[in-house]
Amino acid sequence: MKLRSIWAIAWQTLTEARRNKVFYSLFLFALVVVLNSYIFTEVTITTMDRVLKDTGMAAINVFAILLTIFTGVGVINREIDRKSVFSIIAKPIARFEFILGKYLGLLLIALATSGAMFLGLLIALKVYRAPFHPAMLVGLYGVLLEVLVLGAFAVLCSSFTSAFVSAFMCIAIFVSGHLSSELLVSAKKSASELSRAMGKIIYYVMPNLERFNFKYNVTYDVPVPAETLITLTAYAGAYVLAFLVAAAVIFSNRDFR
Amino acid sequence: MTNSPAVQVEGLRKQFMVGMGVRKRLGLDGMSFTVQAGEIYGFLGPNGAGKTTSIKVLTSLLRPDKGEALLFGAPPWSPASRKRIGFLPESPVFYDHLTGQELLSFCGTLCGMSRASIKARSKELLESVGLAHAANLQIRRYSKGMTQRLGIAQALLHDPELVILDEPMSGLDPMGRSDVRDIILELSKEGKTIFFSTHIIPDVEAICTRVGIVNRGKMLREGTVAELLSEGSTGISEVVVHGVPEGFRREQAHLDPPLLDGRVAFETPTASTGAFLQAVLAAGGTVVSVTPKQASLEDLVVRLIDRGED
Repeated sequence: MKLRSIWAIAWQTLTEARRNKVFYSLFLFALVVVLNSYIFTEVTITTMDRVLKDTGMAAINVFAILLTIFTGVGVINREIDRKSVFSIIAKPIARFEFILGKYLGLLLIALATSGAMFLGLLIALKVYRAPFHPAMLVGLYGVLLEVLVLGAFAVLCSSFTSAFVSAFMCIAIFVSGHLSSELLVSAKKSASELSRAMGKIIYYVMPNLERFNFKYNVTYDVPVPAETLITLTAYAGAYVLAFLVAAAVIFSNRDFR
Repeated sequence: MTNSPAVQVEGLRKQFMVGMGVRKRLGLDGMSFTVQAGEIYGFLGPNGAGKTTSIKVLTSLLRPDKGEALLFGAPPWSPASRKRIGFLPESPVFYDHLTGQELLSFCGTLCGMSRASIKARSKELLESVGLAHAANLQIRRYSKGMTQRLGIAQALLHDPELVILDEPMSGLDPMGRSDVRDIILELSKEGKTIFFSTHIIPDVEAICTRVGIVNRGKMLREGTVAELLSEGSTGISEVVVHGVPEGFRREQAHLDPPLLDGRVAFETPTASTGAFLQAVLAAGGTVVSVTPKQASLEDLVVRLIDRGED
């Protein structure tokens, strides 16, 4: 495996996002935080800091996920459609290295934007003299784990289908990943054998993204045990590995006409 | 390994699904050819003949259904064998947010070059393809000809032994085409093997040491330009004579206008040239020259392709 080639592809992906003004979305985030701070300063008496923190973290979550999905779904197939992939694949690199480079580039984009948004939130907290809670870091880590999994799934979809279908599939896995527990409970109550089976498949096969949600811990500053974080990291890692291996196998067997 | 041909293609077959997968189109139908190291090989054929499909197999973009493709004796699927080739795709598209210099740095890194050699080599190549002034310009601002030149630069960056160029003259003005021809000849002098596809016959006649004429996914003829021309006899000879009387000229169909100094050119079937010469002598004329008329490479290509000959 040529790490230098993978890094070059990742850096190129980040540069493309930067020059295509993807990071302009950060201004939107800043606007949300500032407006939110202004509004809640006016209407809240005692819990302004909590509201600021919660809505700020929620905004980071939403922005990071949307950015990952909508950048990720085009990360491979856009290159195929534009045929820019021709001159790259003919270079002495393995196709799985191309996939890894693209995924790493996607993560760099998500990391850069999430980091910038988190920094923005910390500044807002400072301005409003609201305390910083360490659980916010855990909340951010949860967002990043979810981004890791969804990014890998977006790359998988992008390796074999169009950006539109990929986006649809990513949104589907995002929704089912957050509602899988509820789906299982509902399915168990269903009279239909098929519904029960589908509920079980979704619950056990699809990633349970709700496990990365540390909203409660952030809101009430409840610490998360290290074992839980390690388990969740391994859980996310297993899905990332599975999705990327599948993407590499599909991409390696693709013809580029 | 070092004695293996630069390119060896044997019985390649590739079928494509078209129209939602309900119809099939044969892209390659038993394509076979060999390019020896050091050759400038012109891959000649009309659009849709299978030139790009063959090149895509050689550059690992497509996998054949049948047959074998080898680069220096190794399959193109291995990155190690692709390290020995430089490739310019047809109408190349690059990351247009990068500058020309950045693209070369990126490509050099993928080829495993050191930073120092990338810097030195890209400066040298940008100058030789006439893009030194545009090194720091984003590719989205390049014209088609500039993009083509940049494509040639990225193909040559890592100093490959074999250069595969798919329609390298496409999109270039006459000056640009001339520059590319010069680059190809220069590379050949350095001992590189050049394999390029084109449908522009004068380019092939001007620079190729060997030519393959393809159509409908298969090789129709292969050889040097001279070999290909030698089989292109028209069966007609041009006979230039002197001093024949006016009556003889009227009797025989002669080319119009007569040549200077009383010389007259006649066209006669090569098979009956002897009888014609005797008639000239009997009429009191002298024979200046007899030249069998050769078909041009274009005539041969048109004959092979239009009439479906193989």
